Amino acid sequence: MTDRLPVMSRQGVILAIIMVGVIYVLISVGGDSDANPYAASYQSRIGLYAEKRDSLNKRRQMSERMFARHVANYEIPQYIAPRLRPTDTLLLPPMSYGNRYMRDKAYWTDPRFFAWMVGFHNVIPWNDAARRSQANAFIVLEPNMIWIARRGSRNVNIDSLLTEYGREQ
Amino acid sequence: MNTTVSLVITLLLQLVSGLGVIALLRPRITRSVAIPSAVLIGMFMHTLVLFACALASVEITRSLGMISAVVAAVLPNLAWPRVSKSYGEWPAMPKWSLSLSDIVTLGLASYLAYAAFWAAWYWPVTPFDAVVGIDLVAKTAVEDGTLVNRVFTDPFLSQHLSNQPFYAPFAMFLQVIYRLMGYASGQMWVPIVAVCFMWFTWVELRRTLHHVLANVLWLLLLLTPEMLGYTYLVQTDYLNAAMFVPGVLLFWRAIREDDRGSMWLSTVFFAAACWSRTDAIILVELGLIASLPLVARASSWKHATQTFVVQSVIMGVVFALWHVLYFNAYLPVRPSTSDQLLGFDLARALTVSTSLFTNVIADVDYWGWVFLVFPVVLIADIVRQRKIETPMLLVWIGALLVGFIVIGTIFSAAIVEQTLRRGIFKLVPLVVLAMAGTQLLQTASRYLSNWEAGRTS
Repeated sequence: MTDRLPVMSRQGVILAIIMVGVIYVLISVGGDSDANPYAASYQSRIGLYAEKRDSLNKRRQMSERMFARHVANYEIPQYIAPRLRPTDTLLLPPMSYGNRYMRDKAYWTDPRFFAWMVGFHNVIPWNDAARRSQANAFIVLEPNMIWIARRGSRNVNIDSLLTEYGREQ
Repeated sequence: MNTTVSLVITLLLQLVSGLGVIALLRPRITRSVAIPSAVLIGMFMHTLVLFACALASVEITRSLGMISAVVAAVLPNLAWPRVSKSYGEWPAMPKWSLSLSDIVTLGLASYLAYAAFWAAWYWPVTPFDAVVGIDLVAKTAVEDGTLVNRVFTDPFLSQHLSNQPFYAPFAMFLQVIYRLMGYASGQMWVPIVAVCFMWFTWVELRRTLHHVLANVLWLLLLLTPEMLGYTYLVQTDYLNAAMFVPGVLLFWRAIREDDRGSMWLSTVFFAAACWSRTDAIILVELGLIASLPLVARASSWKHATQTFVVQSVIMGVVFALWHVLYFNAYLPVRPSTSDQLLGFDLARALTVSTSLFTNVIADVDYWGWVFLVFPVVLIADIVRQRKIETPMLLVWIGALLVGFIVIGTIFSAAIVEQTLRRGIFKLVPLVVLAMAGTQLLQTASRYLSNWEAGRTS
């Protein structure tokens, strides 16, 4: 269908107007209801960024964008990594434990995700039952609080913490 | 070197590489198909050269990223007498002009492309599968200068890799190339692939239908809710579709127009599809087997079988480069693929089929209206015409559906709502193009053309 017709003709203009109408309907009508999936997805994937692009572009640092995208999954590894000691072998808690304190899924409890965020450290995931006993550092979460507990520290009973980790497993 | 300058030079080298491959194979395709195809094929060639360097234990550095692009550009052009003949023919190819409705549609498409480029540049890598697989391997390869990096050697991590770091390597190598250029998150290749893929499908639709109908169908494809996000998010699946679909269309063209060049170009695309997603080899083989009778009808069974064997060998070699040679000869750890093989079970196949159709394909929030409209148009067309107009595309659509069910049944890791859902990216463009080929739309197309040209019938 590649006939060479004049670009500007009465029919051509009518068809272009129809096309504008089709585009308008596809991306603008019925987005709030379930009637038009194209409009809803356009709004969430393109329209939203268009509205907020100016404010988004003010975030010049990649760290700010990482936080905007990954939120606590970015923040928690960033908090933990610099506080690890060379002798630490950190036990990453199960995802269910992390989920209790986060809105998003606690992907940071996956050692691959942890490595992607902050590089390679001595970390053992919870499901590594064979190595779990080698761990000597543990993450404690509480509402709006996080810290690293080590065996022998006074304020955390590690056995109770491990029982807490295992809850909901 | 500035990242943008690196990007432009790399893209040009990939274009030259792809054009060289196309000129070498000499398919009868127009420039408007050749250019997006060349960029996609050039990316494939570039990653193959980079992989060869990794096999030769050459350190992965920024210079290597550029040198491998130069090698990829030079290689197909070494057969200069054959290649230059093709180059000489391209300027004389027929040209066609844009209509106003094209300009309106391309205006929206350009805006979507701009948004995709901005999002790919702005956001860090986001999908979980990419973070713990493709990009983890790519990021560490750039840091360590080798593919056999800490992801595979770190004693704390190596036992907990699951499948993602072992995914087919096309997207991972593109992440390596773009990270070497200096892009903090890599991923700028994603919108480039999307633009080339959509350009290709637009030209195909425009060739088949009146421009308004072609543009409407193309918009439905472009704005497909689930696919729109992956025009800037790193995953293997969109890239896989961008290789698979041109492969099917060129294969169809090769049979329809008795064009050997298109057949071999389609094989290159299929090989690239196998390089981009592990299960593609099953799907491509199923499609090729299912289309054997159509190929034989156009030529002979002997010819059809010979072509099938050569295609299978080429795809098998590309698949084996990563999944056999690399895993066994280079990596200290292996994926646990054999543990995930379940064997075929009819009850499970039924569950997978039901879930695939009801939870995934029938969900308009994923695919828009395409899968609802297609059966209606197809049935109306069959009832009216008493024949199927695009049997090749329907065969491939059927092969894909059967393939998804087989994969979902025999691999425990292939989860219908995730793995197979993104596999549907290959299905949507084929369905749209099959719809464009129906007599119903062809008649409407002729009617519109006549009306626009001021003719009475």
